[in-house]
Amino acid sequence: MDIPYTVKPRPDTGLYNAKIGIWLFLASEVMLFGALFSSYIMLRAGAEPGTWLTNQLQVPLGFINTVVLIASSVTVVYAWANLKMGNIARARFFLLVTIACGLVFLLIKSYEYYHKFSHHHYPSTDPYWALYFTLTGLHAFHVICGMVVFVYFWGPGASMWKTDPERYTNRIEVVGLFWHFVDLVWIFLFPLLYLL
Amino acid sequence: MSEDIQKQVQKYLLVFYALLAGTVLTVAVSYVDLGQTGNIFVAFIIASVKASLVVLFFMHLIHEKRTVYMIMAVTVFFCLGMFLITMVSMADVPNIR
Repeated sequence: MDIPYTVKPRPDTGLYNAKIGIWLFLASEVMLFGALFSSYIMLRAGAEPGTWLTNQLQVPLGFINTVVLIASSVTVVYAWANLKMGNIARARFFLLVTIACGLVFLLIKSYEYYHKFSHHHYPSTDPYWALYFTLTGLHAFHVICGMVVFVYFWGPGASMWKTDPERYTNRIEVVGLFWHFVDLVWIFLFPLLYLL
Repeated sequence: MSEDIQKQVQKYLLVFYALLAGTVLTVAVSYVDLGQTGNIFVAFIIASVKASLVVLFFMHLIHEKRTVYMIMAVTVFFCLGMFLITMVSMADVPNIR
């Protein structure tokens, strides 16, 4: 027996299964990152005046990473749009560009981590560094997870296009929603950690 | 169908440019001394506008079904509640350091 509503939307919700699933998952993600942002507010507001560390990170690197993630969000929607237009080759090209963007982001982040560790900045050093490594580490983990899924759909998962193109398109839309959320979190992390 | 998608693709490009401009603005404003509260407030406003663009256009919330709006409304309610409870409780907490 086939599972219903994997492609067509349920009449009552107007959504297919995976879409309602990803939005519920993203709701839990908002609470996860929300709790960490709350911790940031609490630790920063609770710090003695003038003791909170600022200007600790290289703004150009954070800026480049922001641009890279925004660009990757565009390439994901381009991949989805090309699938909607029936062009799998171009869609796979844009998926590949997205994976490359994720890789560039992680390389820059790794360099930043290496730089901080070599200057003896660890999560245990200071509340600022504790938050920096927790927030960016969790975010980087999300980037890695997204990339793993993209690699699967770019490679072996793409064979679904031949048998069930609509479902494959929906899958790209769903992983795209996750990827945009990762971008969205970074939009708040960048000013919070690099600029303020 | 294909024409609708083409129009959407053009919209994505405009959103991309707006997000880039927002990022440049975020960095530029951070070099202007508006006081700590002022700088945080402006950075938060710009980040919120950028996040809204991502959610509305890239995540297609602008065309989504009522179910998604309901999920998001409940999420925003609880998330803001969490922030509020944290802030209220801070009055009871001595300096962290």
